[in-house]
Order: sequence, then C-alpha cells, then structure tokens
Amino acid sequence: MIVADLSPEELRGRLGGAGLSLRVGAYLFRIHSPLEPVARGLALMYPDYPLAPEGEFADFPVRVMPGRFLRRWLQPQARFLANGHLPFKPMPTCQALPLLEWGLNWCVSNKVFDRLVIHSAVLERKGLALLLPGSPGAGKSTLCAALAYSGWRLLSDELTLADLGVPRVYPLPRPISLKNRSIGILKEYAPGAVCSEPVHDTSKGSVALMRAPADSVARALEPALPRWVVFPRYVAGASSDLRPLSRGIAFMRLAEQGFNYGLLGRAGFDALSDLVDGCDCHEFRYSRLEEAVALLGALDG
Amino acid sequence: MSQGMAQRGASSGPMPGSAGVWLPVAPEGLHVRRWGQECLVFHEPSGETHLLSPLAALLFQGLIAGGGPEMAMVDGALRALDCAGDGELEALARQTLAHLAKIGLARYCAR
Repeated sequence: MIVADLSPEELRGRLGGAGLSLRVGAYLFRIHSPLEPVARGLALMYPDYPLAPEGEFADFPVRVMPGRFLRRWLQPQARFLANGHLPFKPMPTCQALPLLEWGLNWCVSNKVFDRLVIHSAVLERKGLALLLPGSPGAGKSTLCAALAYSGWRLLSDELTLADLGVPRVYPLPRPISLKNRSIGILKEYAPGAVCSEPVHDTSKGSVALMRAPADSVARALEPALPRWVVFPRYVAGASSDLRPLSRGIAFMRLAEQGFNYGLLGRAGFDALSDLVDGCDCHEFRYSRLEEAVALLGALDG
Repeated sequence: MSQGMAQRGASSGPMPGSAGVWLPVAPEGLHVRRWGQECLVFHEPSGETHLLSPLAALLFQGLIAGGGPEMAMVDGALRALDCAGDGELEALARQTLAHLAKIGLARYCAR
C-alpha cells in the first residue's frame, strides 16, 4: 500500500491518530500531525511511498504539532518533535511542511550511527553514484534536482548514507528542497515535475519542495557504488568549469561535511577512505543548468 | 582535522637538541591511506585526521621505518625531494618534525 491509496480523509485520520508510517529507503518514519499543511504536503510530495503496518517499529517517530497556549490561535505556530525532543524553534504554521522536511533530515543526520552520514546530494546512473557535497548556498540542490530530472536516479538531495564495511551508498529519496531563485529556475527546467507552493520568509528565504521522481522512490532500496565526488559552486554568469581535485583534499572536505565522521572514529575514516579511493574527485563551477547537466553526464564517457 | 601540516603551527612543539632521536608513536593507533604523494593519517587516540604535505609525509614515512637522529631524518626527506642542501627546506623539515610531535604522530627522545 502506498500513500496515494489513502483518501484525504484516511490520510488525515492516520496523521491525527496512530500516525502515518512512511517507509523511505531503509527507514521508517511515523508521522503524527493534526496540521492541514502537513496533510496536504504529504499527499502532494509522498504519493508513491510505501506505508508500513501500524505496529511495525518506527526508526523515527515524529510529530508536527500546533503551538502551545495562545500560539494555537495568535499567529499560529508549528512545532517539530522527534521522540519528544524539540530540535528547532517553532515556526509559523504555513511553514509546517518545510519544518517537517528539516526535521526528518535532523533525525537521520543526528541519530544514524551505523552508516557514515555526509551532507551531500547523491545520484546514480548505471549503478555508479555521483556525490555532490556542498555548503548551503553552493547550488547543490539545484544541480541535484536538474540531474534527477535528466536521467539520473535521485538517492538524496541532502544526505549521503555510506556503508561502513564496503564502498556503497544507500538511497533516502525524499522531496528536493529548492530555495529562492532556484524554485523558478527548476520549474522552467523540469516543467513536468510536481512542486509545492513556495513558502516565504523562512529562515532560508522562500522554500518549495520538488517531488522525487517515482522511479527513484520505487528503487529506494537499491544501493550504488560511489564513483564521482564533485563539489559544485554556483557562480552567476560563469561558464561550466570542471577541475580535478586530489583525493586527499576531497577526503578532508567530505569529512568536514560528515555529520557523524568524528563520532565513528576509525570506522568513519576507513569508510570515507574506501569511498574516496574508488572516486574521481572534482571541483565544479557552473551557472547554466543545461551546460552543467551535459558536462556531468559525460563523466563516464 | 588538519591539512598541509608543514605550513601550519611549525613554530610550536618540541625543540630537540642534536643528540636525540625521533621515534615513531605506537603504530596501532595510526591508520594511514596514501594516494600518490598524499598521505592521510587518522590518529585514533585523538580522533584527528591529518592530511600531510609531501614533506611531512616523507618524514612520517621515516618515522614509521623506525625514526632516527634529526639530521639523518631531515637529510633523507630532502634527498627524496631532490632538495638536499636547501637550507630553507631543512629548517622547514625540522619544524615539521616538531609539529608531527605536537599532534601526536612522532616523539622525541633525548639521549
């Protein structure tokens, strides 16, 4: 059974009752929320995702709840709770969907210890994975969204999950988070993609979500072999420029983007070394998406 | 994490006399990965990862091979770089040894 099999009433019923048990890759998220933007957002962004039985163990039980006391009525707020923990400040109710997405990212990046979790988009083609690590604002999600709608399989726009024993990365395909100008750029680039209405004035500016391609969701348990690490940087007006980067420097930059690299100790060092060992590493400056997609498409050529 | 150690923090660390020897630290806490001239070292006791410069990598290699008197270690590294007799690099190599000790990758034993 998938989310799209539920009527809007059934979806709201689960969210307000026992929870919506959503399977994303290897993880089970159980989501509770009485908030309308969450129900609408999940119906729009997660229609193809499998549902798990109610009693099954959830890796991440989460809630997006209304504000407390007067905040239920006066400038209503939404609060994200993971296992009773409140990792973010409450946000306006209209921002509940991005809040849920950030919260789900928080769960994986802070609570997964059996895999190396790197702040990096990751896509796959012919079994080979392309990692796009980058600091916020580097243009990682924009490029990832364009590639996901140009023949690459989306594994994640935000979190790379690397095996600790063998060089392999696992999917966690969820909606791609687009910000500010990239929302319009991607709507033009991939007019067939389903996007949520932009939510304005968040801490990251305007935010919209782009639905993960159905094929990526259907293949959410298929790992890939890391083959390329590309550090993108969007520079307005620049022509695309792909330059080799040494493995040592790529390692250090990836380690900086590793949420749990420091906690994993030697296991993290070995996993990241093995990952980098099998990859060609590059720095990539770009501005035009078509040009960037073509250049990255030729990596294996 | 540290990168390019030969260029960083070189003024601090032990200032050995000429009579002592440089020795490796316990190898079980060190994990090394090499890519060409690049040498990456994970120092388990501190949890730190270091990307060594080519000069530091050569000195570290000398330590792993058993270490030795400072002059011999510096000469060996400079010869490998085809820079024997370069006074500036020699000073840098001595500072690099001191820095390797500071981050736990070498130890100095005065005789």
